[in-house]
Amino acid sequence: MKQIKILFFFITLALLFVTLSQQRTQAATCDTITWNTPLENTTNIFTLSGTIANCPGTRHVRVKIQYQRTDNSDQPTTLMTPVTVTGGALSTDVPFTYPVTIILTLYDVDNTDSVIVNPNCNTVPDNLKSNSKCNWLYYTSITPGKTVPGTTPSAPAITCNNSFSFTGDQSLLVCPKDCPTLINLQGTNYQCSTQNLTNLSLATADVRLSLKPKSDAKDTYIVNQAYATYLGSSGSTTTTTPGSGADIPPNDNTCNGHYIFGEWPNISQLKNFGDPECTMDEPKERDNLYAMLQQLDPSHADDWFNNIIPCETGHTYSPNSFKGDSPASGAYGLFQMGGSGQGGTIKSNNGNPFDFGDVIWQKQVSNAISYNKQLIQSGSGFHYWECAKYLW
Amino acid sequence: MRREIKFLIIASTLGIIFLALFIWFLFSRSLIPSSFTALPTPTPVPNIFYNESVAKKTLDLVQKRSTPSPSDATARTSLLARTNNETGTIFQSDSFSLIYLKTPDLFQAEILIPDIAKAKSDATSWLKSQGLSTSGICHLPLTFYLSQNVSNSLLQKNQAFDPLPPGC
Repeated sequence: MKQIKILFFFITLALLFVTLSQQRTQAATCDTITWNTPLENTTNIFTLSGTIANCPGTRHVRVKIQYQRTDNSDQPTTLMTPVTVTGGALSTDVPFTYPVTIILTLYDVDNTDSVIVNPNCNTVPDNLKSNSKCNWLYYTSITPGKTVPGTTPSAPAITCNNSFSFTGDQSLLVCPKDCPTLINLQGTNYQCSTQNLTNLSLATADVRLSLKPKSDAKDTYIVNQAYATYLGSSGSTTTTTPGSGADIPPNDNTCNGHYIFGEWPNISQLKNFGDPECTMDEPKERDNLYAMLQQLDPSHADDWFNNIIPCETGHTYSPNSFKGDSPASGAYGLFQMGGSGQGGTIKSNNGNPFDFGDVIWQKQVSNAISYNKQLIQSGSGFHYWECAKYLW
Repeated sequence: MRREIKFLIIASTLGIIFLALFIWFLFSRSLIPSSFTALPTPTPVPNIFYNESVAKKTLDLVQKRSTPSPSDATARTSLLARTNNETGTIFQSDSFSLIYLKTPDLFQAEILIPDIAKAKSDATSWLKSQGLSTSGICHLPLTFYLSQNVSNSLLQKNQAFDPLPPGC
């Protein structure tokens, strides 16, 4: 009897192990993919997010995002925007200035990089099926300036030319042109420049709201970086990107005397690493800096532009700023980040592939924001910058 | 008895195997790499360039736009007409250069002389001559920044700098 009990115990143990093992292997189906409705969180910046069920921690997955004009007047183009993959959740920000169709595809890296097929492919239009295969997982159409965040997925887009009324018990998040942040109209303290909407109560009154079109003339920046994001076999990890080295070599161009080298605070052999082509010494180009910040980090663009950059650069906004006597023996650029040791700078990179400030200003911006996104994920956002103490 | 010993040996072997597999299973689950855990050393910044209350106030002025008085609104419109409502230089003197940035919708003035107080005073006086009140100047919004020469001299004198206009 005792022997039977012991045997029964080990059989149970074996079954338990087999069950757990099955969960690990069967989890690789990745067959439940949910993408949320794209949200336009600032002008022309859309956030795509979603989750892959039964997949995290079990498989290497590669994500590709393509876009194509909604009128099909061009071919699908791969979007070089970093996709964050954490566990089973994916998200990315995509900037567009014209109506596009977004196509997202997952590839199974462990299985000859084959496409993970959309299980619901029968429900999508034929013209979005590539080579008669349903090899994408999600598509949607977005129109800059004409979508309203917060509406339900099935709600029709609100066009800019028409008024729109609702009596709603629905929650509508919308930001007219002059509002600094998104405002929930279901609240009773609507504080915006449109005075006749103050203290409205949607439960008792219809509201007629006119939306102004947003400018669709933004520049789109694509920094020369390659991103590769994987779900590791035992969790998620992200391979980092080369953020060092200048694609355009530093030179001696002072941009008509705009930049002075070697005078702050010590004499240096530095060259113009931050703006070798003089693309940030005019007001229009300062404007471009803000546009890029807004594109890459819309929620903190104002912090970067109005506080962190001026403070870090001695209030000069110079992408050639440097501080040679810092403990790290070298801080460079708009964000006073590490040096690569090239072009006269001191090698002071802290080991993070984004910690390079002695590069062209567009890459400085990209490096800083990418680095900070890593910090945010680890719960220490902005801790790299003393000038951002108020955000710690 | 011999049969029981044999059974116990088999059971023990199986037990060890299962235990080893179970430990391996748990261990492999705990190997999830942390994407980033090290807290970086903040970049050192001279105290003269960072003031927390000024940073918050600057952000407030930029993000919380209030409705200007009619006269301030008119004056602002006139200023923007100088650049056709586009990004560009609005006015330049020996002591400051005033620009408008369309994308963030704000004004910036570069201080061109080491006498920062005079440059700020010159800028605000000129803006008042255009019809703006002190409050209207604050809520343009306007911030000052420094030419590299001026920044260098400020650092050498260890002199603090407030990017906001006087009275804001």
